Parts: sequence; structure tokens; C-alpha cells
Amino acid sequence: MADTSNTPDAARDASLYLHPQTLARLKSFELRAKMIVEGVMSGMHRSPYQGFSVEFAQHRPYSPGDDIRRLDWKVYARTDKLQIKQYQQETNLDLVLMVDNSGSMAFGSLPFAQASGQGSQTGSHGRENWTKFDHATAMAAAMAYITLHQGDRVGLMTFADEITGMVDRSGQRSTWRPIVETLSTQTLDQPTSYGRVIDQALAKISNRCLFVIISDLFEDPETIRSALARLRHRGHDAIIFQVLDESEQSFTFQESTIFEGLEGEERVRVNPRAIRESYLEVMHEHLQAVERATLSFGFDYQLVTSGKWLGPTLAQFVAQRNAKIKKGKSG
Amino acid sequence: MTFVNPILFALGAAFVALPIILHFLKRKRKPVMWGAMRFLIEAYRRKRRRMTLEQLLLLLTRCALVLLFALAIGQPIFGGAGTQTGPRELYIVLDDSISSANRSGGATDFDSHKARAIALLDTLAPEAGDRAGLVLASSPSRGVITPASSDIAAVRRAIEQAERTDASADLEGSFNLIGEAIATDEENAPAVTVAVVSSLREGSIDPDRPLPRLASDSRRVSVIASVPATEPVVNFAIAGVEPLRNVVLGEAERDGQATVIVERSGADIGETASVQVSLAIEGTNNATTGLADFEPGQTSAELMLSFAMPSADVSRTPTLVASLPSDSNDADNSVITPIDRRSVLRVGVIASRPLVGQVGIDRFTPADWIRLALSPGESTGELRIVDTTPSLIDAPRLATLDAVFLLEPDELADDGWSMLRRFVDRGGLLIVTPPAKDSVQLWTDSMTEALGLSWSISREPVSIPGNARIDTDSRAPSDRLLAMIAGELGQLSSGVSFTKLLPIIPEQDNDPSILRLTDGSTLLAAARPETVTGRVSPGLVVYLTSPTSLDWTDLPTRPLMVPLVQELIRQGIGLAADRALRTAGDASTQMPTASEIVSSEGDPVEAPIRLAGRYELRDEAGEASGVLAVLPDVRGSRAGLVNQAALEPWLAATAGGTEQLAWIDAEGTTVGAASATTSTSARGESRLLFWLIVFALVCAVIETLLARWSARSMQVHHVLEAQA
Repeated sequence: MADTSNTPDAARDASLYLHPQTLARLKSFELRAKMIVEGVMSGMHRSPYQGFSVEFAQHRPYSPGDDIRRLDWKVYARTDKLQIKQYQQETNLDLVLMVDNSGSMAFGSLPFAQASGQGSQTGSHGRENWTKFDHATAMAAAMAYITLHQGDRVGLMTFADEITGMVDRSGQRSTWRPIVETLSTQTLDQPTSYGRVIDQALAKISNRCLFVIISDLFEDPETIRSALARLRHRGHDAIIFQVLDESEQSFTFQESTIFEGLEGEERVRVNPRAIRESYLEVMHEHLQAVERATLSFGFDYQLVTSGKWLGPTLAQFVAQRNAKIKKGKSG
Repeated sequence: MTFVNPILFALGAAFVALPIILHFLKRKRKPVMWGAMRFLIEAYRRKRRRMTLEQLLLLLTRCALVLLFALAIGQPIFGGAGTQTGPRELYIVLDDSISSANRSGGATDFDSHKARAIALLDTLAPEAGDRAGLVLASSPSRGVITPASSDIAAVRRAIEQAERTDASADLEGSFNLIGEAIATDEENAPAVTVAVVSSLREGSIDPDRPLPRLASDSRRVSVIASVPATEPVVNFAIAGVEPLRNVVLGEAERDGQATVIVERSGADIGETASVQVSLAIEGTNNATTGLADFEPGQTSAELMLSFAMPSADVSRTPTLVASLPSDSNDADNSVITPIDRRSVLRVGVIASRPLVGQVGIDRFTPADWIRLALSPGESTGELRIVDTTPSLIDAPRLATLDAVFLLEPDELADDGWSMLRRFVDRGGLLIVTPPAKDSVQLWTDSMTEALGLSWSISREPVSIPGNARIDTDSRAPSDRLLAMIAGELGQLSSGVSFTKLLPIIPEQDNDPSILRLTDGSTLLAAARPETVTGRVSPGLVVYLTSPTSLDWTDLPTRPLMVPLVQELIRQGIGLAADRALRTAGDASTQMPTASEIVSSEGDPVEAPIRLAGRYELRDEAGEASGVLAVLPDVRGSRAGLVNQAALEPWLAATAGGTEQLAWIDAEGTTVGAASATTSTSARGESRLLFWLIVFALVCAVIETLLARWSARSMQVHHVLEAQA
């Protein structure tokens, strides 16, 4: 990767890599992820939150499972007690990225062909459109990279009706590679079950974490609310990114069309012009319900349109995460 | 409801299936893989009932739109025809009579009739099995195309080629022809519409003669008729030209006189009027003119006009032409009448031959007196007497005679009467006097029977007490036999007395008497024989109730004898002879004896002749044997207006009720209960077409609104977009 990040113009150019129409040209997910990182890094130089302490903060008693490399042998020699060194960054929240890889995430209306110009006509999964999952994985890869470079631990869970892929939390920068690999190898054909997925996730995580859920949240709002409630009950924090495609929000079909669900739903033939108003109404009600449920637990919520520039979304993520870290310190 | 173009309607109606098929057609589209399916299904569930209703309304509107379009091109006919299914039969009664020669504006009524008849044809749909027939109404009416034919084009050509005649209209005959054509025992026979295309002026109709009933259990018949003409016009017509002498003896140039009869009809009959009449021999320039004056209410006027008849060298068959100035109907403004010019008259005297030695005046037989009266002085050769006896008469001899004096009818055999009848039927004059016998007369029955007389003759002579004289005032006004001596009759008959008569017994209301005696008994009677079929013979039978015998009367010795006999012969032959004068379209009178009748253009014509004018008679050798004049039938050209209401029951009776009668007004619009059985009016159809198109447009607008309403979400708030 060329070192163009030190100049404002280069940074601006690199930030363009966060645009899906640029990312879509890269068939290899890893290559795409690196492009995202390039974009993220260029943005980081301009971020007011750049630089953070990795200084020692305190000791805490050892507990089984802790990395024995972080035992403070000096304290053990002096007091005969096993103490783990805790640094500043460990007071921050662990980041758990939860990326939805259910069937509905396979929808996208922005054609690769349109996005890639003379480049590739299909995505990494052979799909012809820039899907919500493509967008979600791009976001997740970028967020993981940012977090790892801030010294925090990052873990990944992909899920549909259950957790389909997982990368344990780790603060090592090399963790980014398995995260990217996990994201790039998921299949999108299962329905979603948030209640079950959250329960499985909570079973694997004991300490307080910041969950970043990237999903279209096509689930009953009450189920979502119940799942988020359990997160809050365990003391976790969350940022919800609801990813929707442009056409899912506008429903601009004209001709009578057969629609087939991506999660095994029955086929329906409808006249889109006749049903559009009602559809938008239902969609609007759902989004409001999800947002209300999210906000009611003090979580952050952001609606993301796939196919749009990732920059604002990531900046929002950084801002919200740091705000939560501050909140944690003060708390 | 029927259709002018049922096939077009059927085709159009079939397209109604198109929106239905499209509505239910599951187009094979590649399904869209959709992520937010749960919201789509929920939205569909919420909108399903409303969408179904909207789609149904849209479908119905589109179907209605197509159906209205199909109706528009099919041109439906509503109303009474709603019960009529299947093909229609339309019989057009086209008034081609002299009445249709009436001119309003530039065109004649006949032109309008033809155009209207063709417009009627245009309402038929041959492809639907409709048929049409054509009857020309001028007397005697002709079924040009009967029964109705499916070849509508042929009917149209027949209408286009039809020509007006000078005969009167015969609607009764026309309806009879249609009645014969539609007579059927079939059930569900097509309904028949009879369209009377006529101006229905006074001359075209005769409400006193009821029309035959055409409707029957197996046939529904409706009648549509032109609304009677409402434009008041005045029409003068020459009803006849009567020369004082129908038969002119001699070949020299001479003056003559003729009575011209002028009739008027139409408007302003209640006012005085005058019309100029001119009279001339055809082919000469010596026309005389006079005014025919009409008093208020007077419809017929006569005037006497003189004319100069050229010598035989100039014209062998002179023809009188009387004419009027142009008026609303020119077809009856000119009349021709041929004059019978003869060089000699041959008169047969049938009586027993006189015995030798009877030379004294007191021994004169009736035949002697007659011969004396026929040749009173030096013979001019114009009257030739042919003597014969009752037993010797035969057909060849009679064929050479113009008139016959039968003075001894009691001597005539039965076949003799038959021969005399044929003689009369050929246009001969037969003058009969009883024999001067006091005995019972047995011949009278044979005479009246053989000659077809409507009156009989007494079998026994009657003695007249006190000698009766001639009552000159008793002369019948219509008599033309004694017209030439009518002025002097009183003076000539003074002193003439009668002691015996063999009187006639007239039937009531049919008195043939021309002249009577002072006691009221008939002296002179005349009649044309009638056949059993009612046809009138052209010849004339004159009966003198007293023989020219001094035992019965002193007439032979009186001055009246010669002029009386001469007039009876000269005028009688003129009246009896077939004048070769016919009325256009008159089928009741036999045509003159001729092998061929040719028109002035040289084309042979068949009887009855419907066009007025001069025709030439030709014998078997093809030589001209005479002239036939055909006069316009002025009864048919009467221009008076007829009240529509008065016609209604007359016309409706043939169809079985006023609900089956409709009228076609001047614009071609059909009005009336039966108006729908044929849509005759282009305007009426165009009105319907207009409304169908309006409804179709309204449907199109509704369809557009419904379609936009169904797709209104394209214009409504973009909730999510605004939020994003």
C-alpha cells in the first residue's frame, strides 16, 4: 500500500476507498478489507480521538482463563498472590462485532456492474449486487481495525438463526485477519433468530462488552426488544447499525412482480404501485419500533443505507464508542 | 336490441375478454429475490381487500370501455326491436307516382324518396341475414323485388334505376303485393318492416280504401312511413281535353273546338284563381289561349278553346295539346288528345228488305226513314249506308261498319246478338229501335243480356195517352251525344209527338236516359256494355224507345229527324269509337287493338303504360295504325296536405296497431313506437353513436383515474426517504 496517508490530498483520496463503488471493484474480500483499512486510517489522522493511553492502570486478581503472560510476577514474588496487570485500554470496553449473515442480508440493489465499471461483474460470493452483507462486512472489518489499533480487544460473531462464525476477543492486531477471513466465508441462507443468537452470545461472554450489531433487523420488534433487554441486563452496551438497501426503503418497483423471500418465505405476486404506500407504512412502523426499543435501553441506533459511503458511519461509530468509554471511566 | 353491424359488434364484444385475460394472465416473470419479505407480506395482507376491489373496478371499467366501443361500432338499435332477433325483412314501398313529381326547391320529391329509400337500405346488415324488397307504388303497383332478397345491392340498384311515372299511387295494391310476398306458415318468420317512402299528399293516398292487414300470427309487421308533406303548394292540372267532335269527317282544313278541363288542388283553394291554358294541334304554331277561372272553393273549371285543324295532307292523325304554365308539379301540366279523322263513315241499316211497290210516304218503313235521314240531300260521300237484313249479318260485314241501326231486333237470331256484342266491343256504335209491333216483344231480354246492359226493356209496348212530347229540359247534363244540337233542340223538337213506346226499365241509381218525354218516360238511352268482369266496352249502345214509324210517332216527318239521326251517328261514332286515349297506369281499360305499341323514341312498351305521352300503334305488318295518347292521372297529382293523425289508423291497421307504426321525418329521423324496428335515421344513429362515444370517454377517464388511484403511492409521501 502506498504511503499517501501523510498528505491531506492522499488522505482524501484514501477515504474514497470507503465508498462501496470503490470497494466493489475488489473481488477479493481481503483486498477489499485492506482498502477499507486504508480509508479508515486516513480518516483516523483527521480524527479528534486519535492517540490513547496504554499505560498501566491497576492490578486485579487472576482468574482461570486469563492470559498467564499478563501475570505480574513481581507482585507474586512480593505478596505470593497472582495478580494480573491491567492497563489503561483494558478499562475500555471490549468490542464484540455481531454481523448478521441471514438470508435477507443477501439482498442488494446496487449492481456490481454499475459500481465496478469495467471491473468485476460479480461479488466475492458470486452475487451480482452490492448486498447488505457486503456493506455490513465492510463496516465490521473497518470497525475491528479501528478498535484493534486503539488497543482494545475485538471479537466477532456472525449469526443467522444461531451463531455461525466466531472469532474470540483479542487485542492483538493480528486478530484482524481471522476476523476478515470469517466475514468472507459466511453463507447467507438461514433465517434470523435474535433471541437465540443473543443467548448464545451472552453464554460466551462474561465481562462487560460493547456489542456492535450490524443487521437489517428483519425480526419482530418485540423479539429484538427482548434480546436487547437481556444484553442490558448483563450490563453490556450496544450500538445497533440497521443496514437496509436503498430499494427496501423506497420500493420503487413499477410492474406487477413476483417477490420471493430470501429466507424461505412464500412467493407473492403484487402490484408494487398499488402496495407501495402500505409497504412503506409497515416498514416505517418497524423502523420506529426498532429505534424505540434500542433507545429505550440507552443503546445507540443508526440506520445505514447499503451502497452509500462508509465514512460517516465509521465516524459515527468512533464517536459513539469513545463516548461510551468515557462514560465507563466516569462510571 | 339489434345491431346495424352485428358482426362488428360481435368482434368488438369478443375483445371484452382481452382485459379479463390480461387481468388473470400470470406473466412469466423472473421473481425478484427480496429481503424485506415480511413487510411486503404484511403490506399485502393489509391492502389485499382494497386492492382486489380496486382491481375489480379497474377490470370492470376496462371491460365496459371495450364493450362501449363494440356497441359504437355495432350501432345498436334499441326499442321495439328488442324482441326481434335474427334477420330482418324490409319492404320499401317507393312512391314513384305522379305525386312524387312535386318539386320543392331544386329536386323533386321522387329524388328525396330515392335517397331516403337508400338510407333505409343502409341500415340493413346483409351479413346478418337481413333482406330487402322493393315495391313501386305507382298504379298498378309493381313488386320489383319480391319476396325480399338478401342481395341488398340489387335492391339499391333497382331504387337508383327507378323512374317516376305519371300514374297515381296505389298503396293498397302495393300492400297486397307485400302481403303475397310475406305469406308464410313458418313459425318465427323474420319480422317485416314496411317502409312507405312517399310525400303522402292527397293524391297519393285514399284513406277510404283500407289497406290489407299484413300482420299475422306468424309474422310481426311494423310500418314506418314518411311524415306527410307539410309544405303547402298549389297545383293546376289539365284533367282532360274534349273536342266537340271526336271523329272528324273529311280531309280538309277546318276549325274545331275543344273543352279543356282544368283542376286545381293544394293550398289556396278557398280563394279565386285563374290560370292560363293554351291549346294547339301538335306540331303547329297556332295556339289559342284562355283563362280558366276558379271561384273560391272551386276545384274544377272548364273552358272552351278553338283550334285550327290542318288538312289531312299536313297531319293524318292530328293531336290536340293543352298545356299550363309551370307550377309545383309539371307532370300534369300538359295533355294530348288525338282527333279521329275519317274520310267516310259506314253505317249499316239492319232491316228486312222492302217489298217492291211500297213507294208512298205513308208506306215508308222505319228503315226508309233512317236512310232518308242519313242521306237527306245530295250525298257527299262521307256517310255510306250498308243495307243488310237481320238474318244476313255476319262478322266480316260488321267489321267494315262504324255504326249499325238495328231496326228489327225481333228478327235477330241469338248469334246475331253475339256478333253485335263483339262489334260494340270493338268500338262500334249500335242504335236499336223496337219494331213497330204491338205484340209482346221477346227480343228485349236477349238484347240486354247479350249487350250486358244494366237496364232492361219492357216486353210490351206502352200507349201514351194524349201524345207525349219531348221534354228538352230532361236532357242529361253529361250528355255529349246531342251536345251539338242541344241549343236548337227545343226548337227542333216542337210538335214532335209520341203515341207508343217500348220503354226501358232502369235500375235504381243507374238511369241511362239521355232524353225523356213530357210524361217522364225515356225516349233515348245510351250505355256502354259491361262484361261479367266489370270491364267497360269502348263501344256504345243507343236505344230509341220508339221506332221511326208513323204508327208510333210523327218524328220521321219532323225537322228533328235528320239532325237527330245525323248527330246520333256522327257524335255516337265519336263517342263509341276507341279514342285511343288512356290514363297512365289505368289497367282497367283494354288497350287499343294493335300488334305493338311503341313510344315516341321507338321503343316497344307493354301495357299498362305509366308514362303520359303520345304512343304509336302498329299493326301486324309493323305499319302505323294509329296514335295512343296516355294522359297523366291527375287524381294522383293532387297536392293537398293530409293530416298525419288521420293517416295513422289507416296505416296502423295493416300492421295491427299504432304501436307498430313509426314516422320518418324530413331529416330522416324515425319517431314512433316502432321506430326501432328499422333504424332509418342516420341522425338517430349518430345521436346514439355520440352518446356511446361519450360514455366510452367517461369510462376511459374513470379507468385512468382508477389506474392512477391504484398507483397513487408513487405520488404520496416518501416517509422513509424523508427520514433517511
